[in-house]
Amino acid sequence: MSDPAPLDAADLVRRAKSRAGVEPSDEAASGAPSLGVGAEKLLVEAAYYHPAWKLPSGARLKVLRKAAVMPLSVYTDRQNQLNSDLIAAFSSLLIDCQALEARVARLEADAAGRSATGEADTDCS
Amino acid sequence: MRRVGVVTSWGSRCGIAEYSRSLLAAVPDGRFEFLVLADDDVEFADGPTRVVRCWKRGDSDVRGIIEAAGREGLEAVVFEFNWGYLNPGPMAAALDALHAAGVRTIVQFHATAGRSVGDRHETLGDIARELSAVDVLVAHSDADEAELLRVVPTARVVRTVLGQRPFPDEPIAEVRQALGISDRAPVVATFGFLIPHKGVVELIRSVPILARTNPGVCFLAVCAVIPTMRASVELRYECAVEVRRLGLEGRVALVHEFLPENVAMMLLHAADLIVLPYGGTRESASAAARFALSSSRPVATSDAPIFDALGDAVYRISDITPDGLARSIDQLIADEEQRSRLVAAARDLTAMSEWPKLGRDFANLLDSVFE
Repeated sequence: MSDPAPLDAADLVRRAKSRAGVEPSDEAASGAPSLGVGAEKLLVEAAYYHPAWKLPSGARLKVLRKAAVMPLSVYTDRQNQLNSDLIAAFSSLLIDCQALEARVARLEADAAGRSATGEADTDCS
Repeated sequence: MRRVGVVTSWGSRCGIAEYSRSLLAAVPDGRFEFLVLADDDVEFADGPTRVVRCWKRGDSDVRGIIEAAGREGLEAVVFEFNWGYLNPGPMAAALDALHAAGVRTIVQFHATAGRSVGDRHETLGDIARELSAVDVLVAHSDADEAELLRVVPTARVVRTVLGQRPFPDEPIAEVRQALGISDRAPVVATFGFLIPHKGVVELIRSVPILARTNPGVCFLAVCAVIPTMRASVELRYECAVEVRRLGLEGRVALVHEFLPENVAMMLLHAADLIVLPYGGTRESASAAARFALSSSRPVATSDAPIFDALGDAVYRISDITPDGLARSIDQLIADEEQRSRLVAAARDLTAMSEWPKLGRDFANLLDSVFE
């Protein structure tokens, strides 16, 4: 049997929300900047691991952590005062996106390497 | 109306916050005026209940709680206890101050087992004196009830359960059609916040084994990441890397968004089987399991004590290695009669633990501390 087509989690969620009658609360609806899945991953990665960030303290880190998995509009609606911090955080993050992408790629390559050399869990071989 | 404070997490990505929100919403109107005394972790709107944010998780400063209780004229304060929130020491300090002021207290326990921090072991026995002055200790499992009575033999201990919200069932074929996965079967799902002990990686690793006998199998992990918990964020990547490593992009969907309940339920309605293969946890009861049991889909769990209260409403899997999971899942998928029995038992359990009933029980419990 050939491999099935990829399952798209975002599409599943979108369809489930549509059927449940839940309005998409994404950024496009509010006119706020869009936070794509790729940027989201990078943002979390940066907030936790990127040496340049050195675990920024207080509201900035909190906003970063939460923004990483929530629509930006939730924050801009409820906590306008934090919005400028968030935008600033994005701006500085974007400079380092390539480095972060490379890090993610390395992690994945490392995992693939472990698999190829037989270090992987044999339960699933 | 009596004024009652509730010390809990609130408006955050947390099972206790969800529990408190559902419980307070279920209490019949007109009997109590609630004031939530919450920690400072806030993600969502507070809702209709008044909230004062006056403590920090893991912190020892409880002055905000004591001051709020005095300022607001609270007649009773309910504490939702779990490790890492308001730990025993600080909770004991707050209890002492409240008791001195004549405030009634109730503590609901979401965990009772001790924990080790470095070379120090902490247990509820450390605060037995303060707990002995509490009006009611609430347990969510038989084991917790026994432990509380062991720690405070004179205590009034009340046993309750986590609540469940009923959801109307939807035809599985219709849901899969709507989700664009009508060509996939069987569909296995798991649900709950993404935390290492929940066995999500093991489930991912079981998929290739299952695919040998079930070529159309797919796995939906409906597991919201907790962005403030580093282990949760790291696990998110571990899951994604594992899916990639095993070449399962066509069989596994990792849903890490925090979804409205009806949306999460719709994803579970696409499943033939929901599996919760938890390893060790100190928590007493699983809100995720209660939610899964409301899905009209069969639920299988590990044999971790956290699921003991669910009785025959769940199928227990003792071997939660990828091979063991695949074996049990395979067996359940093939046994329609068994799955029907599980769904019927889950419906019975759900009927006994619906929120309106628990809300009435909680109101009666509050009344009782003033008698």
